[in-house]
Amino acid sequence: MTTTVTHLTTRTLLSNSYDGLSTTIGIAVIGILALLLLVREFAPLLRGSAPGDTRALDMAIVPLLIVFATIVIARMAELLA
Amino acid sequence: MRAFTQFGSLLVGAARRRAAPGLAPVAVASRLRAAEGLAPLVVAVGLWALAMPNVDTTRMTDLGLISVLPPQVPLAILLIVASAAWHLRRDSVSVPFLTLHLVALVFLLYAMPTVVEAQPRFAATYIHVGISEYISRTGSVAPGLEARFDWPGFFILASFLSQASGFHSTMDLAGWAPVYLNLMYLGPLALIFRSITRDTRLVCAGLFLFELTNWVGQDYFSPQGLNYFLFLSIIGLVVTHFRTLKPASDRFREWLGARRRGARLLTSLYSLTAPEQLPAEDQPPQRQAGLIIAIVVIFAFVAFAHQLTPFFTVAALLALAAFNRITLRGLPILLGVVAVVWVSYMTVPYLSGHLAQLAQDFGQIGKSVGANVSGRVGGSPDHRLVVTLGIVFTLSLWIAAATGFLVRFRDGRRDLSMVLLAAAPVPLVAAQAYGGELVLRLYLFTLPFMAILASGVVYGRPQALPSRLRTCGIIAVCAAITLGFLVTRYGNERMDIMTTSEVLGVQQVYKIAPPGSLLVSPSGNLPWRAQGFEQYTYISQTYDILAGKPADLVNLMRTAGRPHSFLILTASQEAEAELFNGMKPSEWDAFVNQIIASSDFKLVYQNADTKVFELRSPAAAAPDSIADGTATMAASMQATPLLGFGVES
Amino acid sequence: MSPGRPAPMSPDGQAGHKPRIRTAPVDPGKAGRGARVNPGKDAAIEKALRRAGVPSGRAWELIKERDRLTMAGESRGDPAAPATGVSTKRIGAVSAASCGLAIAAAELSGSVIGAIPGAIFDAALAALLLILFAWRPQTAPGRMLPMLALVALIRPVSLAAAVPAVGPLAWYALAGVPLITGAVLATRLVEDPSRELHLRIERPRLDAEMVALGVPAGLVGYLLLGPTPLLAHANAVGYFVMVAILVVFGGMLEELVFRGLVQSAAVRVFGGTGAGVIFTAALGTALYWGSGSIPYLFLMALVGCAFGLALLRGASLWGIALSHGLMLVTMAFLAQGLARQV
Repeated sequence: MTTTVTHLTTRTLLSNSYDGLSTTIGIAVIGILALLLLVREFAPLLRGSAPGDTRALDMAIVPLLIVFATIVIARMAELLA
Repeated sequence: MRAFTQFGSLLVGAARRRAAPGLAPVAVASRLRAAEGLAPLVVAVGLWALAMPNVDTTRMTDLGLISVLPPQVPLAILLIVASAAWHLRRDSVSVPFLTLHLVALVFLLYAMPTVVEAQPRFAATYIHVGISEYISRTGSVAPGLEARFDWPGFFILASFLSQASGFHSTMDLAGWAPVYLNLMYLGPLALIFRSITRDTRLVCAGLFLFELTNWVGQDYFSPQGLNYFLFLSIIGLVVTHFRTLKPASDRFREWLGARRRGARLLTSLYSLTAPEQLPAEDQPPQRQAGLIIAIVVIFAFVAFAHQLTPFFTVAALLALAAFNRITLRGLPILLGVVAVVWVSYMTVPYLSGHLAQLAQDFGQIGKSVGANVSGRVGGSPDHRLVVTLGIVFTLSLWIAAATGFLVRFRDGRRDLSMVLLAAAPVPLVAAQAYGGELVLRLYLFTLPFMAILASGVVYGRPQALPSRLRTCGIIAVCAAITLGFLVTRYGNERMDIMTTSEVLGVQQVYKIAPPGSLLVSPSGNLPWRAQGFEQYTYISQTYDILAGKPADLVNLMRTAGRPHSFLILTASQEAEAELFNGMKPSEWDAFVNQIIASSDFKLVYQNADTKVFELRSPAAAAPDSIADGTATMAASMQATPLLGFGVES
Repeated sequence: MSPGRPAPMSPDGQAGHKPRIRTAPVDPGKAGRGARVNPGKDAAIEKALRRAGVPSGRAWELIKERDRLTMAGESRGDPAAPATGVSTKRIGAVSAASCGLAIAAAELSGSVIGAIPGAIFDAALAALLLILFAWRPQTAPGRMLPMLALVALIRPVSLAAAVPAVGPLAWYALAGVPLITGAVLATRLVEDPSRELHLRIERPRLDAEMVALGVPAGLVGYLLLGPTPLLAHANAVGYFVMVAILVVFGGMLEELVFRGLVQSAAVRVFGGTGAGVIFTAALGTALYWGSGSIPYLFLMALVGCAFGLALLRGASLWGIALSHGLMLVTMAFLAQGLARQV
C-alpha cells in the first residue's frame, strides 16, 4: 500500500526467517551505518570543514542507528523466546 | 637507554683514564654521578637475584608468596622505588634513568612467580593454551565447545605467534606474560599521562604507582591481559591526537552570560565542566585519518577477542565525547556498533544458553557488588586477611586519587579527562556481576587514571619539588604499598601455583584416558585442558561433592555415560578448598582416603601432588554422543561453572 | 537564525556552520566559475564584528545577509558575481536524473533478482550519494543528493527494521520511525523549511479539497490493488492504532519525503516546476514497483503529480499528507471490512 511496505516487502518478510533477514539485509544496513559513521569522522579532517557539515550524514546515520537497535533487540528477543 | 650509555661510557672512561690520565675532571665527575645513581639499581637487582633461588614454595601459607619471600626481595623493590623517588627531587630528571628503574621494577615485581615456579601459574592459563592448541591443530574455532571460542582473537593470535616464532606450544609464551605485558602497558600509559601534563616527574610517578598497585593479576596469558594493552593504546591515541584544545564553547559561554539570573554561577559551573586542555600536536589530516583507521582496526580486534574490554573502551570514549574532551564525537557510537554487532551476531552459541541469566542480572547492582566484594571475603583466616587487604588497598588508592585531584584542582589544573576515564567504567557494575569479578575489572580499568591522579598528591604541582622529608615520607608509603602489593597480588599463590608434579600428573591422565573419557575434578583449579580440548568431557563439580559421599560422585560419573571415567585430585585443588571454603587439611585427607577405600575407584596414577582414580565398571556409553566431541563438550558446559561470563579470561 | 543553530544549506548545496560568501568584486579574468570563498574569511569578519561589539549571533546573521545579497546579484546576472553556468545546471539535472534512475533500477531489480539484493543495492547507493555530498557539497546536484539518498534508504530500512513476528501493521511503524526521523533531520538541510516545504497553510480551501480527494483515491486504490487486511483481530483500539500508523508513517512520511524534500530540491535542480514534479512523481512511483500492480502504479503516478502540482499552487504539505493518509486508511478499512464480511 505504501512505498515502505509493498507486496514484495511482505512476501520477502514472510518467506524468510528473521535470522536470515538480519544476516543479509541487516548486515548490509549495519555495514552502511559503520561506513557512514567512519566518513562522519573523516569529513571534517579531510575537508577542513566545520562539524555542522555532517548534518547530511546524520540524516542517514540516525535512522540506521534506530534500525540497528531494532535488529539487535529482535535478535535478542528471538534468542530469549 | 641514555643511562645504559652513561654506564657503558663510564666503564670505558675508567679504562681510558688509565691510558690517558689527563682526562677532563668535569667529565669524570659527571660519570661518577651517573654511577652513583645506578648503584642502588644494580644492588637491588643483585639482592633480588641472589634471594629468589632460596624461595621454597612448598612452605607457603595461606598468606601466599610473601610468607616464603626472603626480606631481601621487598627490600630490593623498595631500593628501586627509593632511588627513583630521590631522583625525582632533582630540578631536571633523566627519563632514561627513570625508564631503567621502571623496567627493573616491573621485572622484580612480576617475574617473581616465573622465576620461583617451574610451571606457568593459574589454571586458566592451561585452558587458554588448550584453546590455542585446538586452533593450531584444527585450523578452526569451535564456538559450541566453550564460550571463549566466541571471542577467539587472542587465541588465534597466540597460535599464530607460537607457530611463527617456532615455539613448541603457546605455553612457552605464557610463563613471562606478566612481565612483557606490564612492560607493554608502559608505552600507552605514558601517552595517556602526557595528555594532561608535560611534567615528566608526574608522568613517571604515575607509571611507578601503576606498576606498584596493579595487584589484580589480570596480566597473565589471557585475552584480558592483551586487550587491556589495546584498551590503553586506544585511549592513549585518542587523548593524545584527538583531544580538543578548547572544549568550552565561546558562543555557549556568551549565551550563558546573556541570562541574567545566576549567569555567573552557570558560567563558572560550565567552565569547571569544560576546562581547557593542553594543545594537541599539529598533524596533517592524512595522518589523523590514518590514526582513526588504526583505532577502528584495533578496536575491531578487541571486539573479536574479549567480552568486557570493548564495553569498557566504549564507556571511556563515550564519557570523553559527552564532555567534549575529544574531537571524535561519533567514534564511541561507531565502536559501540562494532562491539554490539559482534556480540549479537557472532556469539549466538553462547548467548542462546546464557542470555536469560544475563538479562536477569542486568541492573542488579546490590547482587553484583555483593558477589564482587562481600562474597569474596571468606575461607581461611589468612585468606580473609588477603581479601580485606585488597579492599583496603583499593579504597586507599581511590581516596588518594581524589586527594590528588583536589591538590591539582587548587593549583588551577583540571584533569577532567582522567576523572571521566576513571568514572566511566563504574556504571558497568550494574550490568553484570561477571562471576563475582567485575569489581576487580573495574579496579583494573580505572587504575591508570587513579594512579596518575593519586600521584598528584605529591607531584601534582610542577613548581614545588618535594623536600627531603617529604621524599622520605613517599618512600615510607611506597614501602607499605610494596608490602600490600606482595600480599594482595600473590596472596592466593598457594592455589594459583601449578607444580611440575601436577602438570606431569595431568599429562599422564591424557596418556591413560582414551579420547571420549570423562574427566572429573572437585574444581577447575588444575592444569588440565591444555591438550585434547574437544576429545574429553570435563566436569569440575565444585566442592559440594567433598561434603557428599563417594557414592554420590560415583552416580554422577556413571550418569554421564562415558566408557571411561577418571577422577583427578591435585594439591592446588586442596589449597583452593582450604583458602576459599575454609576446609581443614584433615577434611581433604579424609575425602581422599574415602575415595581410595571405595571399591568403585581404582588408583591408576599418583605423584607428590596428583592422584588419578579410574571409575570401575562405568555405565555403558551411548555411542553417538561419544563419537561426537562437540556433543560431549556441550554436555560438560551444562555442568561446568567456569564457563560463561564467569570465566577468568 | 539563532546563534546556536548552524547555518542552513544554501540552494547550491553549500553547507556550513559558517556561511560562505563570494569574494566580490571578482576580477572576471581571474575568478572562474569555480571561484570559491575563503572559509577563514568569514571567521575573520565575524571576529572583527565581535570586536566591534556586535554579538556573535548577529555577526553571523550579517554575514549571511551579505551572502544572500551576493547570491541575489549573481542570479540577476550581476557582472560582479560569478554566475552559475547553464552547463553546471545541466550537469546537476543529469546527475540527479541518473541517481533517480539508479534508485528505480534497484527497485526493479528487487522483483527480478530478489528484494534483498535490490535493497542492498539501494543501501550502497544511499551511502555513495551521502559520501559524495559530504565530500563535495558544492557539486552540481547539491541538496538533491542527500534527499535521493533518503529515498534510496526506504527499501533497506523497511526490510531490515521490520520483524516478521510482530505482524504487518507494526511493519509500517517499524520502518516508519527511522525514516520519519531521517526526513525530519533532512529538513535541516533546507534553508527555509516553512516556505520550501510548504508547511504554512495558505489556501485552506485547496487543502480541504485535497483531503477530500483522499477518499475516492483510496476507493480506486483498493479496487486496483486489493490489499489484504492489516488487523488480525479488529477492535476499536486496533482501528485507532491502524489509522494513526497509516496517517503518520504512510501519508505524512511519504509526502514529507517526496513532495516536501525531494520535490523542493528537484524543482531547483531541473529548473522548472513541471520537470521537478514529474521527476518526483516518477521516483515515487518506482518505489511502488514492489506492489505488483501496474494499474496501481499508474494511480500513484497520477496521485503524485496531482499532489505535486497542488503543492506548487498553494496547498500545504499537511493537506496533501492528510489526503494521502486518508487514501491509505480508506483502502485499509475497505480491506478490513470486506475481510470481515467474507
